[in-house]
Amino acid sequence: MAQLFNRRPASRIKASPARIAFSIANHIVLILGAALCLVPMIHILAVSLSSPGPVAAQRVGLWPIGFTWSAYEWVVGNPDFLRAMGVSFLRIGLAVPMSLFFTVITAYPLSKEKKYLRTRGAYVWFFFLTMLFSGGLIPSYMIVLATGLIDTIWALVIPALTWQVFNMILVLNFFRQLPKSLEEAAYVDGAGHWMVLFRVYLPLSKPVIATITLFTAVTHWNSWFDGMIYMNFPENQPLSTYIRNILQTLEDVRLTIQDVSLIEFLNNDTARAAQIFVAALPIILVYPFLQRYFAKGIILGSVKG
Amino acid sequence: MKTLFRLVTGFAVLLLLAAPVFATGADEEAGAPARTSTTDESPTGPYEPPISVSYHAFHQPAQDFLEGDSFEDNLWTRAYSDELGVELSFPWSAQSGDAYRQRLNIAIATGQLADIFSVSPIIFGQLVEDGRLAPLDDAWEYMSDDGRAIMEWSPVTRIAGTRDGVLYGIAEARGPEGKNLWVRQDWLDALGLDAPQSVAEFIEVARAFTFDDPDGNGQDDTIGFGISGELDDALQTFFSGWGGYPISNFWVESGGQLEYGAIQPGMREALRALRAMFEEGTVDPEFGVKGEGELYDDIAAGRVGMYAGYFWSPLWPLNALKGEDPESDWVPVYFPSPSGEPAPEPLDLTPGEFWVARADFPYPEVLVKMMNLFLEYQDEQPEYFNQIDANGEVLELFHLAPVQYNTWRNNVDAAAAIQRAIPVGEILPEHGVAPASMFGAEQAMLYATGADTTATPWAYHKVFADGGSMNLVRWRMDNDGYLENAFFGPPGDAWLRHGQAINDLVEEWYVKFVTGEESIDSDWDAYIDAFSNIGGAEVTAEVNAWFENQ
Repeated sequence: MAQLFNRRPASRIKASPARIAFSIANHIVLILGAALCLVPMIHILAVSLSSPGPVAAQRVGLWPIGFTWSAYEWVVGNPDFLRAMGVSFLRIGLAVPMSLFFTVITAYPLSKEKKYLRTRGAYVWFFFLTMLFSGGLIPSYMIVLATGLIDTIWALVIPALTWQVFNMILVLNFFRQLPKSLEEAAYVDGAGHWMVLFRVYLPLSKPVIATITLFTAVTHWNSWFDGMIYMNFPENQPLSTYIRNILQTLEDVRLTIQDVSLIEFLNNDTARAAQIFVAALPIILVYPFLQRYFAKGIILGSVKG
Repeated sequence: MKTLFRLVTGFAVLLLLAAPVFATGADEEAGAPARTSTTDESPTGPYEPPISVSYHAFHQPAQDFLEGDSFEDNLWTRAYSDELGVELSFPWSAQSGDAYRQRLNIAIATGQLADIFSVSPIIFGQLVEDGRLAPLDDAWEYMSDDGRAIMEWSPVTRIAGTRDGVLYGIAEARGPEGKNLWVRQDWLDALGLDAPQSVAEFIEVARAFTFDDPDGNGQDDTIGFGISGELDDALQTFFSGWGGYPISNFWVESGGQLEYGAIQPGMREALRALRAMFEEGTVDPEFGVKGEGELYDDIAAGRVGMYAGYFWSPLWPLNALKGEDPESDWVPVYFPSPSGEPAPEPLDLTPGEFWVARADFPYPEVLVKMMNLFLEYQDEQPEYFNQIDANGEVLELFHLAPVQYNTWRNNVDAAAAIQRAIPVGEILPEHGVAPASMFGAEQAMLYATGADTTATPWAYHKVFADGGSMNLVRWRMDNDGYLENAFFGPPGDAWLRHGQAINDLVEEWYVKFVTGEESIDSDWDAYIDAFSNIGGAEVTAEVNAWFENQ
């Protein structure tokens, strides 16, 4: 694509009014799209930095009114929030390296041509089917229960290894577009498969590794359902499950409990906004550093090189 | 490749078929263990030796504790242990209603039910059919007199918990929510008006609140009567003034048959009244696209003059406005009706939740004994309900009692007691304020004596004091001001299939009629037809079959 643009003289691009119109429209659409994503986040930030009064009166838009750090002081001093955050970090620390390892060693043999691995098609279908069908909630729960993972951090890590099929296909396709000659040269020099994978393939695969690292980390950071189902007690639940619990709507509890403290708690918009923002912070911080690998990293299907 | 594909899909399908087989675990069907402990017949007699009891826990987030306490070990678990000889445990704990339902469904499917737990009516019916719940008729014999009185006030709860003449579930009595009209008192004062008592006055006040700049800011930014497109629950009392009942699964008797509330002729008249107000502009022109949340935001922002609220509305959202605008003040009044009488408040007393015991649990009466302890402490042990900590914050401790048995009448009694105390200027023992209501009483007293007139004391005063919302609830109790749902059985199959669609239909047509998208005069029959076609006819037949057996 880059070559295509370079071949055209810059003056000709400027000369075409249609092109300018397209460019303007393009920018407007993209800026609107970006604003659509950004504005809610800025609103949450503004709410979290405002005093509760103006928030309840719905006067806070994109700029804080009655600026205060008190919601953040509360969050930082809230042991439940910090413990849940600790669980989430532990989860990521365990799940991301494990997921990467298993994804890569699965993708490597499946990236070989059929003459080297005759049952390759069967394996790929086997994995692919898990993207279409799942065992369902109850069987999954029973497996986790029977294997003794319930209420341990491993219940959030090991079953999640099966979520990696899509990432595995990304890696597989990336491996396939690497030049064959590199691999053949390594074989000639006496390297085995492990050596080829770790010394030749992986150093060349930084874009796709960065991409699936981000995918995996975001998935694990955001997933709340397994925390709710597999963790019996709140002290073992990750941050996403904790946030989910505090975001219960007023509607949900009004029928069963009519007490004031809970209604006040649920209407404490500033505290909730602060927690949402702190919870989103790690992803916001990591994203820009990994994002530049995306374009190269995502190679699906027939687009090769 | 094709054969391979067939092979693999075949294998996958086989696995799918086999899944239900794996899913029927059977921990609980190992045969009922015998009773090894004994207890006496008194309502709170202890077990000898102590028994252990498991339950499925719903623990709300941000629960208060005494120093050093936890969900596992707190003043309530110690009370159960010391007084009843009951050692409580919970296999898991849920922090949201959604999580509780999910975990309970898993426990049911995998055969890991706790000894005692609470269930929704639908799950309750399934568990009874599958024979997984213990009969509670013998257990009921342990119920204290206070507990029996609660059930007697609301016989519907007993009927709903009974299947084939056997009691399987005990429910808390649901009460009225005080669905009435809230009016901005400070706006009435500013315009020299009185709170509306007839339909004509109601319309007049709505006009004045919309067009006469009641907030005095020189801008046309006020809404006379605030409604939302969600057909808010509290608005039910407005409709019932005309004889319409747009309420989920609400039925009225007419000529020996049950008819659905939302298609009554009175519904049409109530919609005409709203339509006329919409044309005038005295209801929010944008109401159709607003939800209840947006309406509450408008109220908290001081844009709304009247709206349909609840007895607890001063505690939310009116307190938010009071905090922002200390001059704001509200008054609760009955919705007027064309007959001149206050509109009756529709009442659905069918329970939302049952307490049950697992079929092979040998001590089902422990449920009743725990309820008795709760009722006894309510009268005698205030420190088990609320305490004030060193920083002056209120600790709400009563949520730590897993099995509660309560009556909304507490609020009405509390209002009477507080109104005895307010003229005296302090709360004395002879005023009879129940310990569980002491916090609200103290707040109301702070406002009454002028010691603290900020939002929270104001809100409690508005609920409990003379002229507050509780007085309206009590008046209705004494003067037959309620209209009960004529149907109080379990939701039937047809309702479970079509109920959501019917509720959506009623809400959709309510907006269309009021905004004029459909004509109340010429399209009314289309609305009735749509109701019948979407499943209304089927549900009506089902409900009337139930009615004939009553």
